[in-house]
Amino acid sequence: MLKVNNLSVKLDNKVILNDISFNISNNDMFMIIGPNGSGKTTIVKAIMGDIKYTGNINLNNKNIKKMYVSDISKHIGVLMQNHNLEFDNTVYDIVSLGRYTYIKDMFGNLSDIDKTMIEEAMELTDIKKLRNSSINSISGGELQRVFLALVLAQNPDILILDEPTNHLDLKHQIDIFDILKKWSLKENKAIVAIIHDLNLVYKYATKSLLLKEGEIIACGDVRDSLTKETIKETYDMDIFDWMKTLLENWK
Amino acid sequence: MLKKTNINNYIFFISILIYLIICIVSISVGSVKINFSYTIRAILNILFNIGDISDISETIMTILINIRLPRVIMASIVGASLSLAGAVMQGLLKNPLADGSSLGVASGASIGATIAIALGITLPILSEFSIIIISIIFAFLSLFFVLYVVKKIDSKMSTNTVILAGVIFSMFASSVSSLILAIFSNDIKKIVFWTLGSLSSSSISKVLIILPIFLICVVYILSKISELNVFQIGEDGAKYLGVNTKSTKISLFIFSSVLVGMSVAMTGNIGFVGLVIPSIVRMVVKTDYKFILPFSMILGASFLCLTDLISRTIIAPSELPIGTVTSLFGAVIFVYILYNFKKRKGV
Repeated sequence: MLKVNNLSVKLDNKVILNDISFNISNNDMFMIIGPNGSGKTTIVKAIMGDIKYTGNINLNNKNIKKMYVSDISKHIGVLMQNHNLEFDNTVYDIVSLGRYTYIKDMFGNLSDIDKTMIEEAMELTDIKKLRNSSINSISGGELQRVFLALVLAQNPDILILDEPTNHLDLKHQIDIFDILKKWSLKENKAIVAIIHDLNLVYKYATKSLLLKEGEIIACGDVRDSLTKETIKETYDMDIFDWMKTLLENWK
Repeated sequence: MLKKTNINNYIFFISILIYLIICIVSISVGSVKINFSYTIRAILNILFNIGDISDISETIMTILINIRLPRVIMASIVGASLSLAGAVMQGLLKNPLADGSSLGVASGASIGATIAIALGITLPILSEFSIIIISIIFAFLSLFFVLYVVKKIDSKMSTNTVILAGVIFSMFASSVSSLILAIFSNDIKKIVFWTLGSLSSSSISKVLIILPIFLICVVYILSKISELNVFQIGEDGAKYLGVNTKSTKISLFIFSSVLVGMSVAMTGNIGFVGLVIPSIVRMVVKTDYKFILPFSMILGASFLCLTDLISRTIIAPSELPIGTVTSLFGAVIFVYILYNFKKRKGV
């Protein structure tokens, strides 16, 4: 579905990404991990055409550079890190924006299919009861679920999430990933997530990509790529031992 | 319970009714008072060729057709233009303090008018419209200058860069206008009066110039309702949802600025309308541009017709600059509504 070949990015002569290649297929829960500044977000920016790069990114065998943003948005959805809203929108208003690319009516009126997709997305993210609430009156966890519903209503084949569980407590983090897993399996979709919590990666990912200073340390099936050695090499720290010691202390 | 859409439809219907009443009152009231029934019958006859108007004197018909009607139409178009442009700019820049002149286009038009008046420039053809044409040219030059500078500084044309460039250019343009004023102090009264705005020179020919441009801009802007809605979640979010953000933003900047530049060129700098009307509309109809844009136009048109009526009757036979009245009333109304709104929400 999405093929990234020899992706390299340079900014002010500094190498941000060097020769990155990976494939995303249906049902993949592909998680990108690495220390801050390793180039994780740059991969998303390159896929979405926000920065200049060398190499090839193909979506369903088409060069993504040559596709219109309106076509890309039918296949790829992005859940952003920050949500800055200036005006007093309701939850339903925000979720319905996910249907933008499918709306044909000049005044932005929603079709029956649009309404069904919005309802399904709100059902899956459990925000139906918040439908008429102002976006300014809900909690951070609820806000993240509202924006997740927006991208689910967009009905993309691949959903990209840049640190989707930032600022959320553990329960809400698990909730978000449970929703994503359910959606991916039910709808036969792929998920690409940038994430810091290795436990969540181990629990939910099918594939992982470990990145350090713009280079791939390991990439592939999560059981093969996410090992004690690769994690140590990525973070310059024996996280495996550290977590083990921490767990023993809990006892 | 009534649905939000239905409530908005009712409010819209009532707003149109109020606007029509204001129009009839504005046309009827003035130094020569015209009977309301004469006004209604004459308008119906002029617009739709309905009814018999043989009992209405020729003088009254002349006042209606040549003075009052063009003035009310001009007030409506300028009021609707400034409010529409304000609503669009606030949406695009995600800033409730933005208005149609945020790109410095009104200040640019003012420089044009100041130069034309101070230097007494008259164009060989269309000499009657010299000030207007020179203002429009300057409005366009400022718009493209500001957009060029923004693009050079920041290729993504992010909101903050646009607002900052607009503010700086407006300050620069105001200084240039003041400089011209200081040098050519003979025309100071005429220039100051123009800068504060007036609809007194409205005429059928001016209406015929502004009307088609207004309609083209309105149709284009209304065709971008969905895009404006999506812009509410920010530029990156809009792009990821499939909006061609750059071209949408530039085209909406241009069409909104044309509306403002043209309005300033026709009637001078009328402040506060583009800022206060969309904000009031947002408090009533919330966040859907399907309602925000038409409501802003109707309310803006009503507001300017009403303030024009006040400006020409309150110290009759003299006339107050309309910009003074709009700012005075606009500020008071806005503070009152904001206070009540925040109090109701318990903020």
